[in-house]
Amino acid sequence: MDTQSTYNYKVVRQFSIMTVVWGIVGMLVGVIIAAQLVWPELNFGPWFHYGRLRPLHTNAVIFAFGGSALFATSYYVVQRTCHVRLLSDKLAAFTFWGWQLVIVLAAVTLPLGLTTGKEYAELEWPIDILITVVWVAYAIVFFGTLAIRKVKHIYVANWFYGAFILAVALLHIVNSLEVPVTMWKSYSVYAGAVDAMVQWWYGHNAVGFFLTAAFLGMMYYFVPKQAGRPVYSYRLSVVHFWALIFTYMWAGPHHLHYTALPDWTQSLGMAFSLVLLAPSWGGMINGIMTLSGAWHKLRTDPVLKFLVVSLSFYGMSTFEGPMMSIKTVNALSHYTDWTIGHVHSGALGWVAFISIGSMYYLIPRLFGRDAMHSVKLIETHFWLATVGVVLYIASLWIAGVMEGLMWRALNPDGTLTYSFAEAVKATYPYLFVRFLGGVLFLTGMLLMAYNTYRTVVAGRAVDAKIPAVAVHAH
Amino acid sequence: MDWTNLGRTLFTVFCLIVFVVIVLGAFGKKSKKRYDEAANLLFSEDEDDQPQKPDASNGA
Repeated sequence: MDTQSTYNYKVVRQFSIMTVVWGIVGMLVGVIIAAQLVWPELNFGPWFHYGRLRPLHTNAVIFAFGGSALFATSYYVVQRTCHVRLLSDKLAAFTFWGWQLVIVLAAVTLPLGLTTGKEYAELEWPIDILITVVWVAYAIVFFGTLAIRKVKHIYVANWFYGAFILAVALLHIVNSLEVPVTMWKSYSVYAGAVDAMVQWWYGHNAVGFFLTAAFLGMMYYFVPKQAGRPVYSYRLSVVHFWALIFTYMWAGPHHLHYTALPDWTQSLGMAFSLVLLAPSWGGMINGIMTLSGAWHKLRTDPVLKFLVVSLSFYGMSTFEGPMMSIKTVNALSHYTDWTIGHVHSGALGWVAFISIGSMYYLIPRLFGRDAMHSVKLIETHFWLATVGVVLYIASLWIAGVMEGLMWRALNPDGTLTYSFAEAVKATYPYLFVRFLGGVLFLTGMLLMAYNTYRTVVAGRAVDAKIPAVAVHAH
Repeated sequence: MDWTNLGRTLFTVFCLIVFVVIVLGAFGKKSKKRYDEAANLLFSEDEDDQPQKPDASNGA
């Protein structure tokens, strides 16, 4: 009966450790492909070629690093806010080993060139089926735990995690509908502009629900906990949730401006993208204002720095995104490195920062320690990561705007002023600075791995006790 | 009459109304107390977890 009185931290520990491991792997591949853009000689053979490593990088950072962080934190948060152990230890363990198998299969098949060619959904049909099975198990564990909760109210973080699980199931199944031809080759059931629209409905909602809603769930738990204060406005968090859910689904067409997609669909996508600014900034303000009255803690607490700076980057990238979805701005930014800079402002600045901060909160608690082995090292990690992101974004802003201007420059007689190769050549110094920014960010992750290792070996695995008294009594 | 299109229009209007109702509900007086309790839910967990916990009202 021992397991009935404690939380299941084992699966949280497993996913937390793998968050650090996959973070390093994914970001290392990112640094390698950034180097390949600066020094093309680094493209060795077909398996180590940019075109095959790039999807490996995106899958590793989004689904392996981000995914593991979300599994870890959602399992932790749902147990602690519901005062109940996970519905099933066995099923939770299945989601861990199943998800790791998906990641390993991705790491093998993508370099072999086995791909559906759909961005962020490259994995071939047998792996798609495995993902679906693991995801259904995840949904059963998560919603099953909510169903047996001992606390009447479902804390807002769980709403965000729940929306993420449901939406990702819907997106994955609809976008992965494909006709298998052989074991490792399939064709999408959609064709032409419909295929493109389904793909970017999936792609943008992967951003909206995987990389935003779920990490907002993380924000609504770990920011108040680390700051030692309840969230600034709970009613704002409720409005934030529903506004985000109602709006995000319709923003996808902004990925297809000036393509064969019907013009009205493009304008609709643009309008909804602009509306998204409101819930995004509402959520950001809610997170940052949670610190009001506790700002001094930022001076001494690097974990809080990670969490709060992640919200600043979230605010920046959710301002930049709607702006880039405006068709006239998009005419300049589309297909340039500005887009890559924008994605990394969100992916490194928001997603990675909030995950890293949450892991620094979690890891000591999972291993029976008061704090990480070294707070100084967290501080160093914070500054390496911050300088890395800023270098990365700023250099790609310059490169992207320059590319956009060079591509559209015309001579008085209507011919192009620059050849494409001239624009490529002009980006060279900025791609080098981007590589440096990536190296700094990766170095910070290596410090985190060392700090985690020292914390884990000096600690012992503990499962916290479930409080005996239910809180809705008063 | 294009019934599919009418259905889409009505669904859009329905979503807007639901959203407005949610917002009104969230800002209603009745929600205030419930939400305050919910926001403090995080700090009613076991004590060893939270070194600097605020004025949580449970007596544990």
